[in-house]
Amino acid sequence: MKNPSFDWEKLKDVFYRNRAIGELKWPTQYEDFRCALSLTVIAIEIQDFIQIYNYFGQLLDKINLLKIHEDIIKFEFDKDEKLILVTKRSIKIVKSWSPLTIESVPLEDSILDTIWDYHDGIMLLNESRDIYKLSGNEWELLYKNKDMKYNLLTKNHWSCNGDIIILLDIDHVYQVSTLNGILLKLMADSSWHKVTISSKGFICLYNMKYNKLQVFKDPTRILMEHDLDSIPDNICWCGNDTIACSFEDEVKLYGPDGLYVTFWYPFNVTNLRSEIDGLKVITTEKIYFLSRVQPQTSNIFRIGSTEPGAMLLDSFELLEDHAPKAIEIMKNFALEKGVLDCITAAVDEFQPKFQKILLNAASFGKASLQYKSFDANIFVDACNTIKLLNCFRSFGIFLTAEEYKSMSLKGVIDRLLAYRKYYECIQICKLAGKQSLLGYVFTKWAKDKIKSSSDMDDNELLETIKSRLSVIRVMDTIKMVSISKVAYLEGRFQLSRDLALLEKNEESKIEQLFNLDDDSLALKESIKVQNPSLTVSLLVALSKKLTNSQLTKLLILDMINNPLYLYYMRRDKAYLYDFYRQTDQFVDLAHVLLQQGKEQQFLHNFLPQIKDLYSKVQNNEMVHDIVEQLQRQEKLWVYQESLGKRFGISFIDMTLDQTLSKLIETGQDKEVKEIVKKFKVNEKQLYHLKCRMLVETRKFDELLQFAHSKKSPIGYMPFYRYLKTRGHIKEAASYVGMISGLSYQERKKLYVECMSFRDAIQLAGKERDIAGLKEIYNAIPANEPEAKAFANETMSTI
Amino acid sequence: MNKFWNTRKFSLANAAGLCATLNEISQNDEVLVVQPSFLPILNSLLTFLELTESTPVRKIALLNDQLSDDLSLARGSVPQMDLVFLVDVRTSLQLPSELLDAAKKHNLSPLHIIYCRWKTSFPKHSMDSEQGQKDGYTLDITEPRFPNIIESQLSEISNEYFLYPLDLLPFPQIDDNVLLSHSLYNMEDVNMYYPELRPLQNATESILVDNMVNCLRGLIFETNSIITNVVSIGNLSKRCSHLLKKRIDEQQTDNDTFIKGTLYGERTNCGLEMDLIILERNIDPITPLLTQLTYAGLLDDLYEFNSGLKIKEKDTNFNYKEDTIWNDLKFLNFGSVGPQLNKLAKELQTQYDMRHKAESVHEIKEFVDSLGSLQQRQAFLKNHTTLSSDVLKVVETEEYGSFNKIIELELEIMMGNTLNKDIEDIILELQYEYEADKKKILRLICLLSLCKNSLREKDYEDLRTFIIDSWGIDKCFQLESLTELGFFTSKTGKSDLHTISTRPTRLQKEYRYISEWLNTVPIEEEHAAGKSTNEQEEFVEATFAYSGVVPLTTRLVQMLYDRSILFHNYSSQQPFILSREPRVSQTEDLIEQLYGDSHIIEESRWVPETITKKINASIKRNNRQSVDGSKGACHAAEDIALVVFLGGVTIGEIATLKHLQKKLSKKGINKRFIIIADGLTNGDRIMNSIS
Repeated sequence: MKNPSFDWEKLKDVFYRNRAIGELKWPTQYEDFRCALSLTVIAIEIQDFIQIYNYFGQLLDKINLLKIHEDIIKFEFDKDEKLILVTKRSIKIVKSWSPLTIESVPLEDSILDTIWDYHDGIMLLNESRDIYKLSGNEWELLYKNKDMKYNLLTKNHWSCNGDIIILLDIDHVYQVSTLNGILLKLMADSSWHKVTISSKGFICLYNMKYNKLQVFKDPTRILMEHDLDSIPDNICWCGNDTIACSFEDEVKLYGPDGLYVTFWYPFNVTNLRSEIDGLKVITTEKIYFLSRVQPQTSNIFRIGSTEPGAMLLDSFELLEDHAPKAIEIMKNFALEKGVLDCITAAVDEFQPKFQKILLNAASFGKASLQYKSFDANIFVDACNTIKLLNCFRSFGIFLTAEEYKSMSLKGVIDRLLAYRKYYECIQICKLAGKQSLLGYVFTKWAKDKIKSSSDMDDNELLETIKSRLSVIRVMDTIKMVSISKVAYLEGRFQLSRDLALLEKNEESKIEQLFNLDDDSLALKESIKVQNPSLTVSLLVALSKKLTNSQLTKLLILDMINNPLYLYYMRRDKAYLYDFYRQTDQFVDLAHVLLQQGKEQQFLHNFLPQIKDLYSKVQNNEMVHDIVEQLQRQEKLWVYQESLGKRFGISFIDMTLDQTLSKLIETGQDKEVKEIVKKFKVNEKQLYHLKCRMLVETRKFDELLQFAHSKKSPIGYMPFYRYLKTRGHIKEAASYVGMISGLSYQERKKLYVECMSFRDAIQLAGKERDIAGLKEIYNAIPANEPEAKAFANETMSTI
Repeated sequence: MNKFWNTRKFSLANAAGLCATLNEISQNDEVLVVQPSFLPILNSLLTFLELTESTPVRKIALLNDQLSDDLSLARGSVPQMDLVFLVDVRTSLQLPSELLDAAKKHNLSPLHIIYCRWKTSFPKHSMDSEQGQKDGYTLDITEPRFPNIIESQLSEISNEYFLYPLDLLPFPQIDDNVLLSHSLYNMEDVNMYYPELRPLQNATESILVDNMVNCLRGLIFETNSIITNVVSIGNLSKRCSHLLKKRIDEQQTDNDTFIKGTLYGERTNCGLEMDLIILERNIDPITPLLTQLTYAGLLDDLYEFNSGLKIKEKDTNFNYKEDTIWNDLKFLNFGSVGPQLNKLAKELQTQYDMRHKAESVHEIKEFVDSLGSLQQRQAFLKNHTTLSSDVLKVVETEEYGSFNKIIELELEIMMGNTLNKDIEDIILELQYEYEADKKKILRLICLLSLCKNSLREKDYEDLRTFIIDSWGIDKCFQLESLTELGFFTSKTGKSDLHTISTRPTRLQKEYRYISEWLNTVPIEEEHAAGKSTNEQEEFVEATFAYSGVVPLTTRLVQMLYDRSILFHNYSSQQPFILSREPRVSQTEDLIEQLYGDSHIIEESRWVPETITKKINASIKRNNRQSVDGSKGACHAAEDIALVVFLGGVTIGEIATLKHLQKKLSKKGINKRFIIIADGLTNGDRIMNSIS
């Protein structure tokens, strides 16, 4: 195995290494061309086209500059790798490639000046060198260069990162904050010709005259100064803390104290691009990645290293042939650190061979660690990351672990989607196990599909989308509604509706249907969800949009068996009344009236109307019965009125029972009989009523007469009880004898209960019940000596 | 998968949620304006003291007609006060009109409204969307959302408003294992299962089901449970279970599927089980019509608990967590309450008497320390003694002599002993002689009609005429409603009804068959004998809650696990006698007999079907051994069985289900029945709602 450390270079105590990552045929045949680099793609202007290549040199897309009609001053990629074209009056951002959508951010008309240079959201004007910042879709004046406070000679004389702008005036160095636009004189009376700023805020200045480099963060403390042998082609940061210069076919990295290391390349270096953890070197044939060697990696692969990582790797290599020795070695170092180092180093490697070896070693070491002392997720995560990074590389996206971390999976997917690499995206999602992102990819695909296939008809498109959907089988994160909206904007209404129906999130589905003005469908769908509050809110929304009759029609058509809206409107009796009248629901209408009547406590007045409504219904037994009852009631009212006239007493609102009682009370036997006959009052009922009434009005004689007049159909127990419960004990006693079917004991008890001791004693005497007699005797109160004497007498006779 | 539910946590979670929301709204002092129907629930969640201590709320006002006065008063005393409205429109859907009025009148702006909803979002699920937001792929939904039901109502008034959802879970009030969702009655106190405006029944039912489903889903996700076996009886129950399944599946993440797959996969089966049994009121309309005889049931019948489990007339605290005496007594037959109280009083006395024996300083200290709890206990004991003596007075006094008469009559009707003629006489007697409550008489009439599976045409007519004659014509419509709901029907009318709508579940059989097949009126010789010895354990059959009758629902639940009763009384062809899983196999015939449709009972499994039988059997054997070995050990392996009631549950049914749980565990089936209902019901409530 070749030790990867062989081509490392050491700068002070840090190793640097250079790794080829891609092949690219640089268009050397053209004399003059411009290019722009991003983390994953390269844009080159050749003749009238700007072409986008990935690091494999595959053409991804191109723009025909003739169609732009403006001269391109410059182009570059922004942070999200959107291509930005800078023209004299505006910058143009390429939002999407197919179809090509370009968003333009023009200068305000009031500004007569033209754009001089643009970089990373900062724009300078040609004449005045005023500084503008791009915020959203507008230019914001950051610093106005009054009285030409500074003058910039070439475009190398300024630079910026996210926080600061460095301006190299002829005499001084200025700094402008991008946050508030405050100008600061950084260095007075010093002249420089080129500036680059690292992402961490280190500033590197270059003076062409003295061929000198200076690096600092704070101008009062110069960190490094270098005199160069020749004029560099390019100056760039490697990572964020080392400065690199390219000279034809070599790149030099400079360290403190005049130290530097040189990397030679077989081809001419054409371009440099600094990344957060290294430097991309573009040569005419190949692309290289120059980066610092991670301490973990160097610990492992450095010649003669005795660090835990290196020991673990040794041990693992010995395992096959000299297992005992391998085990022996394991005991001699901090195993856990070794494992962690191996894992970190594996993530940092590009070559699968080394990744495998390191991971194997880590896995081997991990197995010997104490149970649960090591979080295995670290290992699993590392494996996943490596898998993904390798996968990205196979698609032409070269990322280190650190770059990937700052970009996130979503970022990678977005970059791939920009160039319609759907298949690759799906591969990545599946590999990463991110079902949710899969939905995102699908959504994007479907939108693009709809936009780009204007020659397909709605059904065809729908079928295509559906068939893909069935393959993907994740519905959760697919925003069908947003696809549907795209279809709507494309003028495909039917498709838009069909797509909205596929949406899984019910609320947004219904909202979309509502927005599409497909009210009936929206309603039907919302009913299917069986969420009443959602349906009602839809209906409320509809009620605002539609006229009353339209809404009613909708309700009748789609919700005839689902009175949810009526429930919602239940307090609005007038609405219910209208609705039921329109739908000919007579009984329901009657019920609304009934409720209204109850609320107003004036049911009487509503009854005729209710009766009419009920009688409209045909062939319903129950309804028929009710109509009969109501008719009977009307008859009663008529009769009550006539009674009222006859006796001068108001019978209004009395029930039949009350009417009868009243008549009994007033002793109108004739009318009682009449009522009984007319309304077919149950005889038993009459007996109960009469009995009660007579007791209440203390007409005991009449009661007795009534009792004797005919054999009572309810027996005589009720007579007794009415009397007794109302405290007429004496009268009650006379009915005990008339009650049939009582046992001796029961009868005796009744007698005692109503203090009719004499009868009780007689009864007991007949039964020759001494014990019973004694009981009775004891029950007799002291103030009735007669009864006591009678009891004694009876007892003695037995 | 969670096997242990700590239901008490739910009330804490609810209270904490409310406090957090109130704190979030503003730092100023707040006046909390509560919708009247929600007040009892709020009260049982936390006390006013707790509320003022942990939140900026200083005053509570009711959202009613008096609000205006209260407001001006409150604002006068403390000028810098924010108004916060607390509303619950889960069942009403409509905002209280008082809220809109008040907002317009006082020009309240901004309007802070807290609205209740069933807890739906859980950390586990929201994580996904947060992740999404971080990654930026939810950008599409930043556009205005479809307004929810409250927003769409508020948009009519111009005021600025803020809405805060209050996530609620059903919480225990009567007992740890009874969770009420309080969705049976809406803001206007309309019963959603038997709504007053009958044409709206379809809508109210769907709201009821929706609420119950959301409530169940909330519970299941909150506790991280996986339902394995589901049985639903009744058409509405079926709808409920289907909807629940659908909603649970929608929220399912890959992770959940994975967990399910691992727990209940092809090869492995952990044997964990959680049953869900959904019942609806219509499968047993009879039970609520009976007079309840348990202590709590009697209190409910006489004084009626509100949704905060308080009775209207007396200011008694029925907090089962603190009041152990109440906890012990509530589900006992009232007959056993007296002796039990006596026993408790004696115990208390001896504990007090300990002080005389206390000699050392240490002993005295011990006594003094326990004094607080003793005094509290004494207070509770006093409470219940007065209460039960009040109850006794009501039950026994002459004036209400009808109580015993009615119970007698109920039993007679249930046993099928009475002839039609007698019943009519007795009802006349009740009406005229005893002057019994109209509702009670109606209840009896309905009971009669149900038990006879509709009355003869003539009796039906007579009774109806009688009712209208004595109580007035408006009763005619109540009877119509009762007829439509199947409570009061005639033989001919019934068949007529049948053709109109076949949808609702109705009993189709005379009660004598039911009582025969399911042995709901068991004849127990031991019954009388047992009473004298140990009261608590003695009832072999769950007849203590009603006069000698076992509720049909209890029997149906029992049938799912234990077929011994069907084996003895219905058919000896049973697929099993005891089963750990609820099984409906071969009950179709019986169900068809009872309800005229065998499809209203449905069994399903919500986890992958496996070859569980073997494991199941082995578990069962283990269980049984543990029962044989030591009685205490069997508690360890309880499966949770959620018993859901749509349309309300009676306290008697709760008590009998508890009894059933004990009985099943004696047979080796260890279940913990957690009863989830939309509300309490009893005969009076049903009669009130149908008027």
